[in-house]
Amino acid sequence: MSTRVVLRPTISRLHNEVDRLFDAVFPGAMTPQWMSGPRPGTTSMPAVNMWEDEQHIYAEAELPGLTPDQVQVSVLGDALTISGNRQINLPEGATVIRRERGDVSFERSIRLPAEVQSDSVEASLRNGVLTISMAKAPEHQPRRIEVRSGDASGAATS
Amino acid sequence: MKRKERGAMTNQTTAIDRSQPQAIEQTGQSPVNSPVSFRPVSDVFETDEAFFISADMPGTSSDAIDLCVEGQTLTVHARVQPRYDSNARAWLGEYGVGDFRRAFRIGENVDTERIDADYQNGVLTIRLPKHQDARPRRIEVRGG
Repeated sequence: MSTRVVLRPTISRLHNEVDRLFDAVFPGAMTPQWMSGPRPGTTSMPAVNMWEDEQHIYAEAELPGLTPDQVQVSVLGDALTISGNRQINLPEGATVIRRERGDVSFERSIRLPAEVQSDSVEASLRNGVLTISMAKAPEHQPRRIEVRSGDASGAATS
Repeated sequence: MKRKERGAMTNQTTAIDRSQPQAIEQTGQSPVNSPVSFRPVSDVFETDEAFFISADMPGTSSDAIDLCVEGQTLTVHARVQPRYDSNARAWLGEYGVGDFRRAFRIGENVDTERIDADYQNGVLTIRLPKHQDARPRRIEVRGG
């Protein structure tokens, strides 16, 4: 009969190696607190940036590690909802040395600054960045009004 | 100086926000194309054959990522293109966008010649194979 023995480096040496796999200080990289994910007081997930032009509202969220089938986007009236979940798969037989990323499940609804046409909503997920483009409802889009000259109209008579 | 991590999807934030839609007001804060670098949140795993580093780095691309090993230090720098037009009218600016930088100190048991990396869905995975003699060996013990 045979017995299997696994030879590993001595405990102290293993410890030493694990300790070495840590961050070195990286000069020049700094992050003001308010730029690091959700602002204090806004703990909602995911963090969202939103902006607009005359015709559209745009929203963006960073969702690294998610594939398009793991993200749902829906718009109803002036409410935008983003939901999804991420599961991190460890390599086969792996042990964790450092864990900062998480398995997350999220759902967030945000009121839009204007109603949008729900059939105009387009969402794309590229390199972990979700970008949503929404056309504003016609009544929320600026309307250009032509200013005619009084002479040409012929209507202004006195 | 202790730097904060960028990325909402850390271990601590697993909450589900199912509240009513949040009303938003124009905050005056624009989405920011940041001139400073961000520290990507990262996991480190180990198997018998290799170490693995997974780093959340959304919005870059494989040809914009530089990996450099110098001595026992592995540095990661990912360039991120500005995404926002500063003339746009902003409604929410909850995170800034800029390059990612982080350095990892690696042990002597890593075979630095064979490090490779893969960028998928905004996550960089770096594989650091161990030297052959640093891997656990199985030795048969025969009965006498």
